Amino acid sequence: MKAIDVQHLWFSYHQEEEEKMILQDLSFSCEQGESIAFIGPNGSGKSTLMKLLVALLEADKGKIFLLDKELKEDTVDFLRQHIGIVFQNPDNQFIGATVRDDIAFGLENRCIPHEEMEDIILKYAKEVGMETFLDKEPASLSGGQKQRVAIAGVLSMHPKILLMDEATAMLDPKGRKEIMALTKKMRSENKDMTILTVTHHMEEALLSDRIIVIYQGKVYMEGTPDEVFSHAEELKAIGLDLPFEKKWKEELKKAGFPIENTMTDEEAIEILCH
Amino acid sequence: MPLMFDHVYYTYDASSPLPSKAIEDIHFTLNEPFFCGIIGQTGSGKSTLVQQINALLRPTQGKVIVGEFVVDSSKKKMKEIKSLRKYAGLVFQFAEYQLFEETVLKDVSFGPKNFKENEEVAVEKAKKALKKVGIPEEYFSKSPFELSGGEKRRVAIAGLLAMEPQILILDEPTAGLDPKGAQEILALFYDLYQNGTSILLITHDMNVVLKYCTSVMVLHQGKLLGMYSPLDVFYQKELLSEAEIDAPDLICLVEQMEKKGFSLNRQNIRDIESFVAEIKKMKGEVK
Repeated sequence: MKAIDVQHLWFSYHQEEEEKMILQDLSFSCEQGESIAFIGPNGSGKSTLMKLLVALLEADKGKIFLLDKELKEDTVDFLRQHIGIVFQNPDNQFIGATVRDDIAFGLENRCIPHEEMEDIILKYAKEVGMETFLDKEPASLSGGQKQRVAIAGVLSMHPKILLMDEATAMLDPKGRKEIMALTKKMRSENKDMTILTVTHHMEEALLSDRIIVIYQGKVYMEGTPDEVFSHAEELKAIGLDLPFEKKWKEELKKAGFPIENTMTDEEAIEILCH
Repeated sequence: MPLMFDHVYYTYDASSPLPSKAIEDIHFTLNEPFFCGIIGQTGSGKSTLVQQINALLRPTQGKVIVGEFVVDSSKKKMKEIKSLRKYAGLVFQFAEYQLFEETVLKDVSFGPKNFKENEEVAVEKAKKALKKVGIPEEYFSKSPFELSGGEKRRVAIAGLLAMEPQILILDEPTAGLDPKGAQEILALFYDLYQNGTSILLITHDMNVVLKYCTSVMVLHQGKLLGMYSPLDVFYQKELLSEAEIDAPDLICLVEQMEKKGFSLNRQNIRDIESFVAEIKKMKGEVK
């Protein structure tokens, strides 16, 4: 089953002005259980795409199928039960007075009985490593911890599709590492969950099965991380870059050393030794 | 002129039952022009420290000397506060949230107007600043809210540049920008520095510190662990682990290569380009 199938999507914030189309005939699909990273310069349409997928915005033209159902007015409520999103700003999505309340919010909306709720909250707090913080207020948490709570809240809804829209952009390196480690763990433990990540950190994109590069509202390139990052010049042309571990090898290759950016650090250093 | 912190302490809610010490005994002198990084974990006091400089916060104890201004604990309203804030301008994290005017040009000229420049001069300064950050003229009459995230950030920074500060204080100016956007903004700051503006840069991106900064302050739990050269500090493993800071990827790579028997000139390696040049030089010599 395809988890997501997006067909010929067009979107503009100002419909009257043709040149301001944010998405221009964008299509992509992904299988259930796949993890995809979206990268692209600021203003390329990545976040707009995420908002369209959860129906916070409506497309001008084109179709979105989630879990084989078309996203329309009469299916949106059903589909939203299966799709979760984590946004960029940790402070804008913490609504509870405590960690416990925040995770409970979605469960309460689904009228889960109180007795069951306690167990569910504990389970997902453990999942994200926040079980000792259940009674803490948001003010005493770091950005990374708040994002972990947001993820716990989303996971407790058992989403089939999880969207992370620059969920690490406002975090410090420690917070970002926490979220990256958690994403890895989620992938290995929930093999059926489809994870879409939007990021400006090329290191994060390396962790996904597939990368889709968005530029000017279109799919500019797609492939495995190794495939996409083998096109250093094309990426540079649109304002992107290689992750560090590939970049230094690429630069040495350009300088004439027999090195490829797909080599491990050890392999590359070994070659330099001779 | 120097920027001097003379044993500065700052405590939030000092008179409440729950005071919280944010910075303690901060003491240093920087001679202008400088391009100084401030690094440390979240909560180490970086933002509190820089807010003493333009008197958004006043020291609980000690004093800060900024050019000809003195910021101390006195409760009196500072007469020269406007001139001080023109001298030392601060750009907050996610500066685009501070945009508010109807058009880009109005937003950027707000600062100079607020500092009593006449309309014409203010607009002139705004245009100059927008040009510096690479915002094209056709954007001037647009609403700042129509711009992309990266463009908004540049407009917000232009708003500060229009006031022509001597010291420019930046809190994570590249967070959320794409690699090219980040690169351009940093190049702009470096250019300003070379033309005599002092830059104080709070950042979590150690690669940036290594590449651009001439000095770096390491903060930990409100205390200044020291002022260093970026080329030295990242090789000091004990200091980094005390401050809970990870060395830049490049430094880890250099150390990995040194373990394999390479002897690289550490003082020449600030970014991937200089790293490659160093390798080339070394291999050339071997041949």
